Amino acid sequence: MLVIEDEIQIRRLLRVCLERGGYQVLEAPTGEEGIGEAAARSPDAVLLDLGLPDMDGLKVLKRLREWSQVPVLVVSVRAHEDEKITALDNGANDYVTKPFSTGELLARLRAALRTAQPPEADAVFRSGHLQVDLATRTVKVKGQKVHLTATEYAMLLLFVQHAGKVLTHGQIIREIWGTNGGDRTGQLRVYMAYLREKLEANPGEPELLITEPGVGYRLVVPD
Amino acid sequence: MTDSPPQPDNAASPQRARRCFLVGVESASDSEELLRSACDLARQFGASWLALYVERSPAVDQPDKTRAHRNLALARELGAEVITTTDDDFVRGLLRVASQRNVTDIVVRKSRRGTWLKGWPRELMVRRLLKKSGEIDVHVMSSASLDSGDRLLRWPSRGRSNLLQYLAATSVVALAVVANLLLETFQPHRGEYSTALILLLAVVVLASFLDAGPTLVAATLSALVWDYFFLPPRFAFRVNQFEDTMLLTLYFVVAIAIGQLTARLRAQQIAEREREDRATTLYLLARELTEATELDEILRKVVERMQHVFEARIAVLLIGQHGPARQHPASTFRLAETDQSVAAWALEHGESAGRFTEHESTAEALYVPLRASTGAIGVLGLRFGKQAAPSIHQRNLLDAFCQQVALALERHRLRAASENSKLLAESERLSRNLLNSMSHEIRTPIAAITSATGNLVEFQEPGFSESQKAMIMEIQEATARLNRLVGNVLDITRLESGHLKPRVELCDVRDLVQTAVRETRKELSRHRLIVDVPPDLPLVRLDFVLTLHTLTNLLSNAALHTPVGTEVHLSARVDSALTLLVADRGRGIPLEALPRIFEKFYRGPNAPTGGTGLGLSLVKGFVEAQGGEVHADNSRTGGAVFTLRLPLDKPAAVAAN
Repeated sequence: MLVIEDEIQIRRLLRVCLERGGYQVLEAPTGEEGIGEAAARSPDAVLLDLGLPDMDGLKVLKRLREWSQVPVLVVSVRAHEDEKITALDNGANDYVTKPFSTGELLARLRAALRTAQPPEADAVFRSGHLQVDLATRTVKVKGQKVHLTATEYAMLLLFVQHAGKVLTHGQIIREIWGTNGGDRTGQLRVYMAYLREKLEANPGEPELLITEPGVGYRLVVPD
Repeated sequence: MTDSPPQPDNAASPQRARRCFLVGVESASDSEELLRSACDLARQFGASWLALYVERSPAVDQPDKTRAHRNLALARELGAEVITTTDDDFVRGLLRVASQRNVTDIVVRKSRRGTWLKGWPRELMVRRLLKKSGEIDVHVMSSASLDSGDRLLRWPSRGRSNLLQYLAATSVVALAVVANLLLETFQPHRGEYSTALILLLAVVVLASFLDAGPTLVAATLSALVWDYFFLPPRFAFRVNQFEDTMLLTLYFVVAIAIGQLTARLRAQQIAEREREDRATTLYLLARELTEATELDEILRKVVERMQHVFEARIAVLLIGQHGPARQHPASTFRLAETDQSVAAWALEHGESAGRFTEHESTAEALYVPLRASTGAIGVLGLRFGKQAAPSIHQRNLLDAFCQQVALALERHRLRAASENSKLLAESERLSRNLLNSMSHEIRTPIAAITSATGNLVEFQEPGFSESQKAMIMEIQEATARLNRLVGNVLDITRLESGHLKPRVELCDVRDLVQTAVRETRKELSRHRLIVDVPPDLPLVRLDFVLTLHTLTNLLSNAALHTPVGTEVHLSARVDSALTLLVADRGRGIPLEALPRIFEKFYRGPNAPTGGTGLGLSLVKGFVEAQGGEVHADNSRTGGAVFTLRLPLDKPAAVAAN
């Protein structure tokens, strides 16, 4: 586990927190050092602060992505949605906003590590009352088979493949409709409503497909 | 009125470009009639029109000039562009300008009645114009009378003939006589004709240098002297032969012919010089204006040059960004009370006013508007030192000056605007950086505290007593509140600095409400939340995050201010606007607090602790940033009601394909 973070106090706290979660921790106070460490020690995941003294965290992310697919969890105080979207679109696996709770951080980290290993083709995904059989393309809610249209299933599959991770609106639209789709925001909203209608136990209070305001959606996974 | 009746349909025909009328302005007093009918004609065709003054050399005399100037002023007032040119031949001048300016129609006048003798030069002029006009249409207006403007011959006038000229004339003739007498002494049998030729030479020389009066005096004198002293019989005024009569007449013919020629040459020279002066002055002004970058510098240079050129004191009035035109300190005279309204009139109508114009000619100065692309941006006032009205050339020069100045001012304004926008962008960047670093610096220690206390709680440190655990809970709660406060302060700052720009996109209202409910679940855990959102709401265009913040703030507010166990209602409606309603069953808002409830840091009487005092002002700010409005009221059944209305451009009907 590599922590790239300039604040020593946060670094110490993250170390305590991660070691208790059973991870080994490497530390880097600057972007340059962080990239060096990542190259030399090939960590399983990187926790990256966006506000670094020597270079922008986004730049570190881009440099890392040039040669590595290591899961990157962005830890930042920058709460603005645009920055979250930029980080995610540039290859970050997820983000945690400071101040964060230890439990939340560890949950996100697990999700990021899990996404790094793509699910096997015949795997069955389960979350709450939802069951998706990837091999037979069957979707069950509370044991009952649910019929999904092609687009709905494509979207659900995308969420399952990135279970626990936030997907930006742009990422979903690109995956489902391609890049030249124009403004599909409206359709995305409509399909999300359909999916929730069919999959949520109580569509009025979604528990599976969660809205990340201004950023995108996330499929919740059981811990 | 016209010989070629107007056919307005023609104007619309595609072969013909936009029509342009040219009127020859003359010094005749009834030109007003001509100008007005030309103006009517141009309006009928929706055409632009030019008023041309052909200044003939030798220059016309002063009263004629004044009349011509009055006519030109009238033409200006009627909306014509005024041009002056110098040409001996009215028709040639007219056609020259017509071809330069792509004129399609020429308007002239003919005499309605009048004797043959008085009318024929004009008759001839109209005929020539008709013959030479080619593709240009000629409209001939009849007019009641013709006056002095049509005299055949103009006697050259170049200022006042003074005594010195008469003296010179007499002395040169006397010299010629003396020379003749001397020649006679040496060559007694030369004959009287050589004497006559020497005298004629004197007249020729005089005619080329002197004015009309002295030249004529010299001619008369020479004739008399020759007849008396040299023509036999000597010492008697007698003419015997026809040749002698011819010779005597020749004196006058030569004097007049050469005088005319000289005067014409000189007038052309003067006109040439005036044109050159005008070009040079304009060039100098343009160069100075290009070099100057600051407004004060531009105006100072303008005033300096204009003072010099027009021999007048100058006042500059400029329209400010807000409010009325103000006099600029570069001005060299102060507007009199009575002149203020004249200047304002000129500014408003975009026309000259004040002295020497048709409007308010009793004002002490002449006011000329500075017209830019967006309309008049200021007024130049000129208080002339002398009483005489400015000449046509000066008026034209003044117009050209005003154009240049207006251009320079506009250029300056555009440059200032572009610099201003750069400055704004820079300040926005700075303030964003400040906000970012602020939020970083404050939130980092908060994150440390949260994380540390979180670790203590989540990993169940052994050996904590109940009271210690309670302490940790307190720390966590206070930190959460501090974090909220920091977030709110940053949001307020962003709102007030105007850097918050709504990101409008299609949103699902149900999703919005669900997310708000989810985010406030913890705060509302001890209340009964009743959500009423119709299932068939269309997608709407709004900023999801801002509206979400608004809703969560209202819901938290309701949770904070109402007793545990009471109901909180949340409902949404979409028509021409999105209406969101948050109603509680608490004690309602105290009447005295109602008007101030959205103020920053305002806390109502008996308000419980825990709020930041910023929640509702943020609500108001977020809603107004999206062009909406928010109201607080008490419902009749008790409890507070907050109503949000966000205007929607159009309900977007998006369906899955």
